[in-house]
Amino acid sequence: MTAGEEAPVLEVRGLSRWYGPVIALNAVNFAVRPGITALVGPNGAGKSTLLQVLTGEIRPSQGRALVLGEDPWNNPALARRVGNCPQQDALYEDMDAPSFVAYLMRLRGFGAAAARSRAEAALAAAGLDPAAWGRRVAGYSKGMRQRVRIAQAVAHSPEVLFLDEPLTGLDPVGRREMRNLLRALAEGGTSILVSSHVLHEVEGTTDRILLLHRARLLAEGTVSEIRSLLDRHPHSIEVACDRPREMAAHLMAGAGVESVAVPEEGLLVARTRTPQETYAHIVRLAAEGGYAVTRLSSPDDNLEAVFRYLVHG
Amino acid sequence: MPILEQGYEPYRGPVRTGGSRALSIAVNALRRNRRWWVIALLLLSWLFGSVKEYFMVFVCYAPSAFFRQAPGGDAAWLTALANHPNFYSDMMATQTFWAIVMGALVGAGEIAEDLRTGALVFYLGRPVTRLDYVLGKALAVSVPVVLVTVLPVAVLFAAQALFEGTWTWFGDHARVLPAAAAYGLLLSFFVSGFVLGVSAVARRRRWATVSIVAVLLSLGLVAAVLAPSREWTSHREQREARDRILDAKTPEERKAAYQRLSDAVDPLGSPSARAEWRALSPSASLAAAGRDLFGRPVPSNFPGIRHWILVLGAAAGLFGVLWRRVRAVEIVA
Repeated sequence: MTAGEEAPVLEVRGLSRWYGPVIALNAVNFAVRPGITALVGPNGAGKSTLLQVLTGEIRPSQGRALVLGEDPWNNPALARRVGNCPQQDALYEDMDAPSFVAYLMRLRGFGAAAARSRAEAALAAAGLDPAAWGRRVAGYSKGMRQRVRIAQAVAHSPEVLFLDEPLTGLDPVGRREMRNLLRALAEGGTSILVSSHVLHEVEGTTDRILLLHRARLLAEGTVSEIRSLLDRHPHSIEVACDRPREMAAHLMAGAGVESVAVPEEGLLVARTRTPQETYAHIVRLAAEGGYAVTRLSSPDDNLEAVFRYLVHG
Repeated sequence: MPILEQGYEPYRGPVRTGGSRALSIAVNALRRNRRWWVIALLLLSWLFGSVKEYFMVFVCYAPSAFFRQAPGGDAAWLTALANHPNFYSDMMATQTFWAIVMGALVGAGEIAEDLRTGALVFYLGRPVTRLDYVLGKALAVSVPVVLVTVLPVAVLFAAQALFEGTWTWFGDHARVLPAAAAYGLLLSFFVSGFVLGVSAVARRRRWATVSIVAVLLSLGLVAAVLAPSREWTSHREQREARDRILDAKTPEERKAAYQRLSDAVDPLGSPSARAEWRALSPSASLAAAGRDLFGRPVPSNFPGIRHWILVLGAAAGLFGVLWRRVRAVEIVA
């Protein structure tokens, strides 16, 4: 850590967790600094297991996890500083939302009045309509239940917040509200680790990504850092133009282009190891050759593609 | 957003001890089980236990006490009621059934549903230890157990004390309240261990309830077949026992014959050749343990401490199962 650099909120070193013959986490290493960090990976990647280790629910089989510099296992003092929104839709159906959240606040050591007021404030912050507060949770929609789960995680103002698939079940408006809430929490000083298997869900929320797949950490860094991984590998560029076959011949003559295909009339797909040079080449060709280029895009130019590439090799 | 206005300061207020977290868990579980039919059953259990024992006293004991002028004096039904040595322990034995029913109603789904839905994560992701959780749930089961056993006994004891109220009477009955409390504790331990242990294995409230009933019934049935109680054998066995008393040639033989007769007329006794198997029935073993606590003799088919081993051992074993099961919900896709 260099001078002036913030201390990591989460630190994981050689962390492994297995259940009999099944390896859920395999020698994972990373450090997370304050702010929002996304933990991304397909289902079964080990995200939930990692979050369970970090919240102290389960013990690592090997290696070490530190949250705010402390071991989370069997550490009630640390648990007071941490919020956790689990993936399981496990609310008490026969309770109303404020009572449920207040009950969980009571378990954190709050008095009855403080628990109730914090529960109501958190539910309001999570966007649950006060008109629904008097109803039993059993009658709530999936989105409303998700808001209750998030409210119980933030009601005690945690320093670190773990959210396991928090946007699942929310409509687009709800997602936007939730992203705003996460950003507001981060601005307020809460460090957040949010997991998701859908990249675009978190792409708008944070720039920092941890990519997990098959129990291993595939990549760590900002979106651009991860995207630069692609530069070492073929990158697809789509060109919609009037004479694709002719342009394909010119492109193949250029450096870095590995292959060219014309999947349909008026569309050219080039695979290159030097995307910036190829983009420049296409622009030059369009200007000099008089091609009518109507669209120039890269299907690889978003996080989903990075993820797809890294996961599928 | 009100929560944002709080500035996200970490909470530094007073934090309670683990005991009160367990209490919060127990209170919440009881609140969630506060249904009209549970309350109705509670009232019914009070009524049943009291009426049955009063019926026994008035119909079976009081008339004979009245006519015979029972020891202690001025006879009358009240004396018979207050002084009958078996009244409180019989009442506790009657209430054992209700204690198990109420404990099962409250506790069958407590662990099962938390495990099935994954709600355990809401506990273990907090400053709540496994001990807090188990203790809280056990407390939730123990409350109805105590309500149907110790409470009615204490109320009746207080009512009778008002009528009798002499130092002699208190001296004679000094053991009742401590014994009732001890039996209530024992019953709480057994019922909570049994119900919550089965609940932790069953994973669904319905299956837990069915399993609890099935285990109790099957054990009771096996015990009844192997060591039938006096209702099935009494006449023949009693006749045989009386004949043995008459035929006895030594004091030892006579003593053994009296014991056999005593067992034959005791609901816990079994004069069969496999009488020891009676201890396999949880309700019989609990009743035998209750008699130990109330200072009453236990039939000879409960030799040693086997009924204590069954009652405490089964509950402790199931608490062990519960302890193993209450872990984080471990998901590996």
